[in-house]
Amino acid sequence: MIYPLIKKQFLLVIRNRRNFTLLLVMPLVLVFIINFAVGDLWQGEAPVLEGKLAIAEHGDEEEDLERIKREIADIPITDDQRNLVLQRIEQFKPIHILKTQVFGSDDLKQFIQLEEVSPEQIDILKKSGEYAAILEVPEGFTYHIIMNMFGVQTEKPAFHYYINEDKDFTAGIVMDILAAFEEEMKVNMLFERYDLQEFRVSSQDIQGSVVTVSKTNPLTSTMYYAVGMSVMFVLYIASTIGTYAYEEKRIHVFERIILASSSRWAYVASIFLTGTLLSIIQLFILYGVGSVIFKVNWPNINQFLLITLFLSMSVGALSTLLTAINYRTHSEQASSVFSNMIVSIIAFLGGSFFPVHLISSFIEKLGNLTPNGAAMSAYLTSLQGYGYGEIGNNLLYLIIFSFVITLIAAFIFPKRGEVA
Amino acid sequence: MLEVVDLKKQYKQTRAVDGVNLFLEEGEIVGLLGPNGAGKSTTISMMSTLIKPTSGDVRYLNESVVKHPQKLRENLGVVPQEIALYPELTAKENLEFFGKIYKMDKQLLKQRMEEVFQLIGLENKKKELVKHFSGGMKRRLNIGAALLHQPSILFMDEPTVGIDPQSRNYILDTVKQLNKEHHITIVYTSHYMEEVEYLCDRIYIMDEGKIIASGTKQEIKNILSSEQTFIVEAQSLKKEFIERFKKDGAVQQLSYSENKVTIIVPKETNYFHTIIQTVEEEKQELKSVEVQKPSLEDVFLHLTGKALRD
Ligand SMILES: Nc1ncnc2c1ncn2[C@@H]1O[C@H](COP(=O)(O)OP(=O)(O)OP(=O)(O)O)[C@@H](O)[C@H]1O
Ligand SMILES: [Mg+2]
Repeated sequence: MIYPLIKKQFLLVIRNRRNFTLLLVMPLVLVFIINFAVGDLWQGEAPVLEGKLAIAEHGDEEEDLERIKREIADIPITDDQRNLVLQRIEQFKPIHILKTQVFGSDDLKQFIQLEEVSPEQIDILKKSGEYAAILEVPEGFTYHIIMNMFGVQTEKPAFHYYINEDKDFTAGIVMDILAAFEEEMKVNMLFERYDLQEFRVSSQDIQGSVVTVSKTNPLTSTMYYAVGMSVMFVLYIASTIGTYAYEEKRIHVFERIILASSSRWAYVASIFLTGTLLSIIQLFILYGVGSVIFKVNWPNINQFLLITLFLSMSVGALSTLLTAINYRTHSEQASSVFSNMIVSIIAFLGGSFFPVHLISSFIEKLGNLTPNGAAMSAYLTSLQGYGYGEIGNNLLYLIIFSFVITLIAAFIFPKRGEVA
Repeated sequence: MLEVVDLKKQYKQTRAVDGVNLFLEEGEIVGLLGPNGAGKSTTISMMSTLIKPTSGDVRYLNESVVKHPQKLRENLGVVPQEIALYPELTAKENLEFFGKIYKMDKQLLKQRMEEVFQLIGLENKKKELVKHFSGGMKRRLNIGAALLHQPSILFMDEPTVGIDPQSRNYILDTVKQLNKEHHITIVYTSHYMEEVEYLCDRIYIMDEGKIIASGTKQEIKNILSSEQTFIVEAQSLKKEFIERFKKDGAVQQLSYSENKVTIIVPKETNYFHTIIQTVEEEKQELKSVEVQKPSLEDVFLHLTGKALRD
């Protein structure tokens, strides 16, 4: 039932040269032009990730170790065991490992500079905003960790973090690394407590997360505008479909569809699906050409497919909404307002024309509330090689957007017998 | 089979349909005749379940189609007044689409499309875009699209508007054929008297939302059987000559132009004599005097006081 409706819709779009041009040729041409115009500005730009991390220690790791050596005499274990522990303790210096092997690694050093500061400075540094994050190590941190390893219940050792909201990207990376590090420590505590194996803190394990960071690809202007143009032009599919659906009513073929007892739900669903499918096809063609001509290649193809699907679904949703309003108002107004005004505004907010998020974080937030903006953020993040965690919010937003808009459209769509 | 009961449709300002009653028996062709804006299309739309009546009912096999449109829709084909086709699709693609939304099986649809193309005489135009069709071809395809699913009832809303006489005759013959050979019951809407006279068994005449007369062709013409019509033609008609008829109490209706006057009088009077006498007295030169049998057009004029066509 839905299939012939979709097939017919596709035929209509393909037959119309103007739409064909608008939907496929225009965005490619624009990427070309913009690429030539601004290409130079972006040349040789450094990676986006860059920042400073401060570490402030209240205690002293060496003193903690001394203290343990003194107290170990009171723990009821054999001398052999005691000696073994003392040996191992010499190698176990979590803060030292963090400073020299994790943040001191060559991979990470080029992105994040670690600086040691005194605890008294923390308040001043917090205000200065110079650091992406400040890590505060409480007094006796190492002491408590080791005591816990041996099953002596003392305080639970934990870091304190201060995150700089303005540099949340770098800060986020730092947090990820620290979380991985802490996790590693906990595992080690358990291992030791149940006498499973040796100490397993090694910088190797922690660098697992570091490695993904260092793989981040720098964004080029071509990538930026290929994405910017595609998320903008995909919106025109919605207004085009809205116009067709209205046209269908104007030339009375809609009456034939009703007479055939087609359900309105099937009709609405066919519009949603047509919008979604056309968007997917448009995006595939654009990025296909983009990959061949502009060398915009996707590090994670599954992520790319997922973002494309969700963006396309929001366009499908917008198609049903515009159709419903066009039917209601008995005009093509919704479509023309959308394509002449709204697309430009949300394309601007979403960052299709230039990176607006650099202007203010407010606009950035606003931009991420547009379907194109959310998709653009996700595409760009994915292009840089980040994981699902970084694009999850955008994807979630696109799903919610599609759902809510379709729901609104269903409410607006005239019921049988209503004069619309 | 189908019954329309006191059907009304009120739009904001206009009462488009104002208490229409009519019925349809299996196998007949019924004409719905009326001038522009009479409410024919609105009536047809309500009968075909496309718009809801303000009040009244349409009953098919004793069931209200307002509440249960399904059964009627299955057996109904509608030829809308407007060309309801996709101009950007070919004739074949159009029919294919309209067949598929009736959930027709592929094989049957293919066969039906052949039959329909043959019937409407467009076998050689299947692959052409509808936008390149002539008016007559579009009209024919517009009819074809309503026939695919083999309806037993067909509503045709002015299917011959704005086309050449040749296409028109083709369509009229097709309609006859559909009724005689395929036993389709037809409601045919028009403001062309000749069409309705040629096609229909029974006729409803509609004006300003109301049925003002109904019956068989003969019954309707009998409305005028008490009258006779004279048409007097001349090179140029004298004012005084026309004045004489205007003042004559026996004349029921009078219409005239520069060289032609139509006079309607009761049948009993021997008015031919009066006309010749007046011609002599007023020294009016004369081309011809014609005694006319009443046509449906006259009935319409008689009933509404206005001509069918603008
Ligand atoms: N959707 C509508 N809204 C308001 N008025 C309408 C609507 N549809 C029809 N009308 C009015 O109802 C009246 C009857 O219209 P309708 O189309 O039924 O006439 P018709 O007999 O089919 O005329 P025609 O021979 O010109 O096709 C007209 O005055 C028309 O303006
Ligand atoms: Mg009409």
